[in-house]
Amino acid sequence: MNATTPACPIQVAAQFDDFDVGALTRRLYAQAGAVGAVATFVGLVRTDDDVLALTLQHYPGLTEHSLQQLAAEAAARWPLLGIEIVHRVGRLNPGEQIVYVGVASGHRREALTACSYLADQLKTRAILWKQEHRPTGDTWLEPSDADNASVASWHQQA
Amino acid sequence: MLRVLFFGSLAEQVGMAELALDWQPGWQQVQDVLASLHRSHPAIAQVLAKRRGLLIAVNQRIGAATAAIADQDELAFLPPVTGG
Repeated sequence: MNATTPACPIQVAAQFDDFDVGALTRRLYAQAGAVGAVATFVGLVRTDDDVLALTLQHYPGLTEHSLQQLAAEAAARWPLLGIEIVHRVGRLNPGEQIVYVGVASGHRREALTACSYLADQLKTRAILWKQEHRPTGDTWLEPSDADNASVASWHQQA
Repeated sequence: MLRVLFFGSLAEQVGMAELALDWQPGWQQVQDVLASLHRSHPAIAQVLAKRRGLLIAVNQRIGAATAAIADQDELAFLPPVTGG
């Protein structure tokens, strides 16, 4: 990033409350700079198996720092005009929103690519712990092999 | 006093989320605290020694076992993370 590039505004949050995708996305439209594209990703708690609920545990302070760090990496890699990440914590039921990633840029390619990058990185690098509640009991999850492979593929492209 | 935190599955394994340790004058790095835990809390020390991929954080910043530590600090042990 050269000295004349404006800093990309970054906002992150780890919160118990639900979020409003429309409000978060419109906030990105309003970023200074010639925003021509906003890409968003919303993660939901899946409803297709026997998971009764998920519990997301966070470490206040460090969790937000990890989200900020991932966003800063994306801002250093692509010419972006705004990044917003909201990750919910606490107990979440199937169908509930769990994470929002929004990226603004001048053109669609950078916004789509950076949004995909952040969605992948969150799986293995956001400081969060996820527990599944099923009728058979509770299980703490760890990143899958597929999640690790997705993150590794971004490093190979670097 | 040193505040020690455990998260996720690790908290279940050690049987607590938080532990307060009296500050020992000889402690300089995280590994010094770990050595003391083997004597004072052997069950916890064994879990920490066995778990693969644990991250260490001092005052909410990721560090290594050689990270400096001081009285009143917050030391956290983090099992593998997953978000999204």
